[in-house]
Amino acid sequence: MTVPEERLAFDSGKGQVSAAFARPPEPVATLVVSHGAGSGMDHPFLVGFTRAMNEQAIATLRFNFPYMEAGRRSTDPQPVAVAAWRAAFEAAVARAGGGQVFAGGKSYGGRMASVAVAEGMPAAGLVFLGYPLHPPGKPERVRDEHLYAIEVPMLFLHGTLDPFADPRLLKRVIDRLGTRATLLEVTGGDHSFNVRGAKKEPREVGASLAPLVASFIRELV
Amino acid sequence: MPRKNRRNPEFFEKPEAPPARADAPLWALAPGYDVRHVGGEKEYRCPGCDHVVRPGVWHLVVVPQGEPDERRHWHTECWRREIRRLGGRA
Ligand SMILES: [Zn+2]
Repeated sequence: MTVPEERLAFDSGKGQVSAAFARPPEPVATLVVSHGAGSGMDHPFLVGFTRAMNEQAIATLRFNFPYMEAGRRSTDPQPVAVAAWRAAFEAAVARAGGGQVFAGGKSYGGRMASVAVAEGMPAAGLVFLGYPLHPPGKPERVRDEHLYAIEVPMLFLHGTLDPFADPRLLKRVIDRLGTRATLLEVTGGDHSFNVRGAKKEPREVGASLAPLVASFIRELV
Repeated sequence: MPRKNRRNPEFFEKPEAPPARADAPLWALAPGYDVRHVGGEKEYRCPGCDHVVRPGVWHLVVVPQGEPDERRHWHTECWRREIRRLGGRA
């Protein structure tokens, strides 16, 4: 069963951006996902992940941040990224048919989702596909302050060899977040969840995370 | 504390070192981005062309507002092209 994908565009506040929405029959919820800093909404990892979510009866909406839509390499200023997130979320709510809407993303995209939620975007929960807790090799620059302002459940999917999150630091953040946070580790996974020697295509790697995310969402709806 | 008014001749005879950073040229400024002109001693990778910014070459450091981790070193010409893509809607 392949769920058809609707290509659409919405106003991000800084021009029209592209999105792809897919709604399986009788979805249990909708998940909006945004891309990492260096790859757009049609990166095979994100496509593989969302298509596999659809097979788990969860509707998905992927979208481009304005800088990516314009073919730029410099990420948007944070207020621009957050405004785009809110617009994407509204586009998803309009199509969700009344079900709960979750927010998430890969790396930078997940962090932007969390900033939007900390600033009031009413997502039912957050899903981080590799949360960039700090720049590689710079554990002193931890970016977690806004997470403690978030009250909805958060799922941290994390590769144990991800240089963007020292495992001990991440565990400390998870502990401080308490029952709001769930940590699922992919043993040997890097920031893109590739495991050395596994030789999986990005699309397949993205798809492999979907069952974990789907069970997290199912427990909340 | 008594003030030391005696000039140190050694200090004043030294040629003045070039400043490590300066304001970016006006054309390089974009709303929402902090842009600085720098002449660092390290090697960087320019996101515009994916090539190396060689040590000692004056170039631009660009930080999107609120995103200190997204700080990047750009060749001046590559940022000029990026600015055109911004199309005044940054
Ligand atoms: Zn360049």
